[in-house]
Amino acid sequence: MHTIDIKNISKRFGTNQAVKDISFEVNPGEIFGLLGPNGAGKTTCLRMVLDIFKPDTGSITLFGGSLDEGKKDKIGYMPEDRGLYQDIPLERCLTYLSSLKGMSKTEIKEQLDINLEKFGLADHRKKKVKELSKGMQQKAQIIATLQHKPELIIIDEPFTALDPINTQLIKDILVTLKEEGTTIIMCTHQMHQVEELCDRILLMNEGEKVLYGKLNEIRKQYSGSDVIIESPNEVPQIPGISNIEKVNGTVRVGLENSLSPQDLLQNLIVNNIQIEKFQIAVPSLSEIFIQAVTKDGIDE
Amino acid sequence: MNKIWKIAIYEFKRHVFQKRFIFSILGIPLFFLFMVGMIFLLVKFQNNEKPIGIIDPGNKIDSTIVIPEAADLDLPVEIIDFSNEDVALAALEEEQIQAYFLLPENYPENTEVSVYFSEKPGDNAYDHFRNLLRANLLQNQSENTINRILEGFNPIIRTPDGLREFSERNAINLALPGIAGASFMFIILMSANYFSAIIAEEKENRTMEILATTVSPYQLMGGKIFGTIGVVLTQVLSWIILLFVAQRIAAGQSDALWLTDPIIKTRTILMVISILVPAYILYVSLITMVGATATNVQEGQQIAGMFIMPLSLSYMFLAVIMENPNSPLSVAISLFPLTAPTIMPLRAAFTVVPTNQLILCVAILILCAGIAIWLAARAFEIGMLRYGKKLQIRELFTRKNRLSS
Repeated sequence: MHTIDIKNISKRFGTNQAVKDISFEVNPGEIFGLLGPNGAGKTTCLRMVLDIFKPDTGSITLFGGSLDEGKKDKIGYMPEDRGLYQDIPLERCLTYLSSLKGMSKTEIKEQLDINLEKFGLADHRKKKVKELSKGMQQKAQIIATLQHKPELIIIDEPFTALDPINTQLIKDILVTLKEEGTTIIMCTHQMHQVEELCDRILLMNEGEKVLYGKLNEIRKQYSGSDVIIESPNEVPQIPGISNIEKVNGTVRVGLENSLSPQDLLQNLIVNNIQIEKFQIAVPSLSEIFIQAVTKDGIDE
Repeated sequence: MNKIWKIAIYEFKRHVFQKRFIFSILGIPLFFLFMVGMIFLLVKFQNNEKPIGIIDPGNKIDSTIVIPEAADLDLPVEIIDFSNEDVALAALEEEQIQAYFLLPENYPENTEVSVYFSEKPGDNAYDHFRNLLRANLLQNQSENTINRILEGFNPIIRTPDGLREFSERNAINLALPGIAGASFMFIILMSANYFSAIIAEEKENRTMEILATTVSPYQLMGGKIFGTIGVVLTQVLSWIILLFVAQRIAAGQSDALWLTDPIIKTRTILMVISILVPAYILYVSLITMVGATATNVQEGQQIAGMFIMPLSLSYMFLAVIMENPNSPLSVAISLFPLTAPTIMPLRAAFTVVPTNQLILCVAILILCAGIAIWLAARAFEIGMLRYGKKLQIRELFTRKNRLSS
């Protein structure tokens, strides 16, 4: 059973078709990336999953059925629009939000002590939320999302306002949660974070599905016939090489269909070219993102 | 525990366990006590402890007579008999007395008394002199007669149908509907601040989306409304308790029957409750609806303040209602749901409102309260994720689904 099963959902706001016929599944215990440029329809999709909006068409299944009040306690959601009660102490704010997720007083206290310590906020628990820095508030928001140990975590842009140390802390926590079997949906446009964390992705543009599947398969699909070579020697112009480009001490070599990477490697060895690095050039997710989105319509 | 109650308790504690709430509870009674204190001081300044003089050429008055308790003297003064005006005038000039009273020679046939003073004498000087004359006139009567006459008269005015009656003991029945209407206006003014901020706060601090994915709109609205009603009730109950304590203290200090032994008719209480309860729900729902359409707390409170206007406008019609409480205008505005909670009790204070009009008024209020609750829930559902963009009232009737920001 999929944790989330979405079939052909669409949503229109006035004249704006925010989501067009989107279908995807999220499997238990995976980190699923929902990607797309601003206005792609990612947040609308998430809001439909969480029953904040009703889809005009299509169906959404969560944990094998429709979302009811009981299932809401199994979900931890961190929206893009961050928000905590500003005028009350951090501890009271988190206690209240946790109690609404069905936790008992003892569970809340126990879990809150652990989380405040883990996120470095233990000394700030009595401070009013508005007195905390932006990064601290972001961490507090993440605690509010994880506090009740949800089975499904949905986080919209989790790394905004975090410094590199805290970004790594959150990444480590997400990986640990995944290993413990928690399903995570991460909505972001920070591609390098997706590359590091996600198992599968859905790339959306203008409300439509552009790419969907396992991250490594998508990357393979978009990898061309370029190779990256690191060598103290000049790469010779061999028939079948379309272009040679120097990038940061390495050379990116474009190959025509007549020349395979294996043939090129053999040729270089024969020509006594000293090779320190030889790598098939796999495109970064950012490149795939730009390529897919541009091809799909941004430039139209 | 049900999530509605968790939200209600959180909202209740958040407002009640605040210093400003304690101040708001004590502030009004303290202000009231200050005003009462000022009145006492004013009364005290109107009395004068200095003796008064009496010149009785006919020798008809016994100035040493004991004045019966029923005369209820505020501040008795010493009475000095003077044989002639020259001695009395000298005493007045030397400020030994505050005034002297000169009775005519042929008193009591002639009751024209002259009073002489340098500065206006205290009210107690006149009261004591009047009671001295009364005690002398009644000295041959039985104690009961003396007391009954000195107590004064207590008329009971009753309408021919027997539905309305006015006497000193049930004077509160005349005042209660009016007080209830005015108190309602005050409670609405107080509630407006809380209820207009109900949703606007969550929208302003962006916690709405988290709450919307944690509890249902019904649980959120229900919890907040119950919690806020709890806050308002705590405030009102605290005042009622303080008022009761004040009444008990005042009753010990006064002989006024309406204060010491008041009679409140069941019909009056039922009428006040059956009008004010649905009216309160109507107003609270409308204010909550406005709060849900506003983009921030301040804006919500500003708009909610407008709801006081129909209530306060009611008092502009006071003269019309007093002159003719059954005129078509009086009847119409007492049935209009936004003015009914103040006008209907006011009308009831000046006339016997027909039962069918009372039933119609309550029915209209209940119907409107139901519609207002629906509108409030709808405004919340549509406007909960609107940030920085105001929800138009007409959208409540036109849109099918919840909308995006």
